[in-house]
Amino acid sequence: MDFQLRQSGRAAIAFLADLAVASSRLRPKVDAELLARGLDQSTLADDLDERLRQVDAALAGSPAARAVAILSEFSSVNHGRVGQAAFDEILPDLEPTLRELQTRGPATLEARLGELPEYQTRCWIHRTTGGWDGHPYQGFVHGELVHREYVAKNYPGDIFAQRRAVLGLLPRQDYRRILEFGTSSGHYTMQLAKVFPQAEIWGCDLSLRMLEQAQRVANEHGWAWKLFQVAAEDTGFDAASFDLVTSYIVLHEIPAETTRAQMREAFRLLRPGGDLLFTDVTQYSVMDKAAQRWAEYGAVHGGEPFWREAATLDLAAAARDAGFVDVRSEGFGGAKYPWVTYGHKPG
Amino acid sequence: MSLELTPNDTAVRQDPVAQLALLLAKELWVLRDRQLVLEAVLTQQGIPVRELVERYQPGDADRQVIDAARKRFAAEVVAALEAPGDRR
Repeated sequence: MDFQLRQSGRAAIAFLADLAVASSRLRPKVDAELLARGLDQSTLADDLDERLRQVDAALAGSPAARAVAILSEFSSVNHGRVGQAAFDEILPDLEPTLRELQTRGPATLEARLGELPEYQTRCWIHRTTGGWDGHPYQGFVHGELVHREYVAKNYPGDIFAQRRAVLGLLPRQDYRRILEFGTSSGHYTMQLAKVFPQAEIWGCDLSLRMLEQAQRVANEHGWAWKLFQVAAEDTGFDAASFDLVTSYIVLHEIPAETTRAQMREAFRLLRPGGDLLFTDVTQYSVMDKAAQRWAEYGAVHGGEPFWREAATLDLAAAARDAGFVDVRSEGFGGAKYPWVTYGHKPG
Repeated sequence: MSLELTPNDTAVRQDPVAQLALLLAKELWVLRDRQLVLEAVLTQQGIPVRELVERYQPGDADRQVIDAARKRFAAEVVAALEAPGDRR
């Protein structure tokens, strides 16, 4: 989607992105201070809550830890606000295009959800001011501005290439109908459409604002995605009607029990011989205690109430419990991130 | 997950002065960026304003205006650090 930010918005987003990158360089210094205080793999508490308290007490008065706290608080609170402000500057120019793109077709969007599940409203996800749907064009704000210009610059590697690369794990190219859980603004869906051009693509999400942006993206490319605002754990779609059910970076936004329910729903929805592929954050089981502590720290202060549940859930066992076979749950390509879980529904 | 798990860190985060300083830093950068853009635009239009500004030497009249503005600003900064007048 072609658009140009105004000077203020462009400069503000770039500043926040650079500030976050600069802040991340303080982390090794904080870790070194922990080691100097005698806190290492053998002395850090096993219990995650106790470890957070232990490190918090040990770092009281640490200039580096103080700087990280101030900077990460600022980034957490302001990345959404800056994105919204940058968007509002260009809205008068962009709105006719956005409206036309949403209604042009061929993609369709159907809102079937009654009330949002409690877990979706427990906090402002990612501390996005006003909540995840807190701006009339939040899908554009998050998908095109925050995700592309801020998040992408703060995660290792090319987060868009990763979405495409994980699809190489799948054993088939002939999927006729694909369902994505947690479509959001359509970044992963785009890769599904490119890798499996013959497939009919369905997507669901709890957020109508995100799905509206996904619809614009699909229409711009001429993709006939069928988008639904429904809970992925209870879609109401016909059983045995999909060949692949997949999600990307969704599981840490939902409770572990909901992940289990989504796996059961995926199994129900898949035709015999169908595949499941869920990709999410790194499991704590392959991280040392200091790295786990950073993940917890980010979750506590970053609007991620379910991160721990996702990072400690035995995803392979959950997939097997749902009925899947040939299950694998591991870091992608030998790395620790992203974390992929694959399962097959017996034919 | 609870903020009570990191009370020291949370206290630092809730310092409004630190957050205000970063907010002002962001706005300062936006203005600096705008100045750089302005200089680039004017240079494209044939006015090498960056070089002109760098080498500009204020005359007496200019200097009086600048000095007065700076002194007023310094006084406002000092006043802001004094006890609020409406409490006297």
